[in-house]
Amino acid sequence: MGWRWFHQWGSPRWFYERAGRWQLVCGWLALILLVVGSLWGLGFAPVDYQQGNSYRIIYLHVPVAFLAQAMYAAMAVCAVVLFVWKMKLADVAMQSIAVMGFAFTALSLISGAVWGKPTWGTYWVWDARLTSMLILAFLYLGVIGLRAAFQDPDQAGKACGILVLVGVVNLPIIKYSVEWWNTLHQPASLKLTEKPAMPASMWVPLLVNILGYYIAAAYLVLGSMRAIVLQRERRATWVKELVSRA
Amino acid sequence: MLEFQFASLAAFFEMAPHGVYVWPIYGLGLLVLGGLTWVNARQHRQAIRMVQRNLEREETHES
Repeated sequence: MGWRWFHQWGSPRWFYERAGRWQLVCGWLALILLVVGSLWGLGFAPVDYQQGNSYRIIYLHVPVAFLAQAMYAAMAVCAVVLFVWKMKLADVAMQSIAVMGFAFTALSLISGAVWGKPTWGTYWVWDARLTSMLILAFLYLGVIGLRAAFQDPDQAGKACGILVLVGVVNLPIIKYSVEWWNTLHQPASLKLTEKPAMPASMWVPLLVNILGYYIAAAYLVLGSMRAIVLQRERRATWVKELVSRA
Repeated sequence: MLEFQFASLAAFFEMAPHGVYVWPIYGLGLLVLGGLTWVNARQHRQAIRMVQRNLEREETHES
């Protein structure tokens, strides 16, 4: 066992050939988990005694809000890999994750706002959690926009990597915003270190959906990465062979 | 253990009084996941077509 498992990722061809299969597995797995988790949460989880049925938005809101942050962290890891090992694929991943991460951040902001209306009486407050999530959305947009401003992918990758790493400072702010400041947003629904504050009949479907959305994110990022690899490697012999065989 | 929480399917879709908040959000989620899947597939097709065009151009140059 050497470093082979790691060096393989340096080859776009190695990745492209395998990612299609991974994508297929992730896609079906995500579909099954999300159908089960969502129907369970919407129809079979008990009603919340305070919030009524509006709380059922949690089965979408919490998974996508987790993902919004986790994907930014993943993007930062890619930036480090790009700077330390100059791995091209890390830059491709950064480009894909930026788009998907923005989509999930937007979804978490919108679902949170709609949940806020019946619960708080308003769609939006300039509260620490909401504001720091909005900044996360702008960071994603900044990374997407910055890349579009460069012709050369290598330069774009370096510039985006720096912006991504600077933006990491926002992640602990999001996480601790509900503890550091008095916010309208409720504290964490699930913690790794503590027993959940809700009964199993509520959090088990939530866990199913969290897993489902994570795998769906992997499916989407893999799909987008395959397209970008093909486009960036269009002059490589293996791509030409692949296309002429098709 | 698993019990359907609504008296009927109609009550499920009405999800009183919050169906108007809950259902559109799940619709939007479906739209985002489906939309991104479609965008990815289109990008992939476009990349293949671009390589094909380049190959054809190379062939006409050579002949």
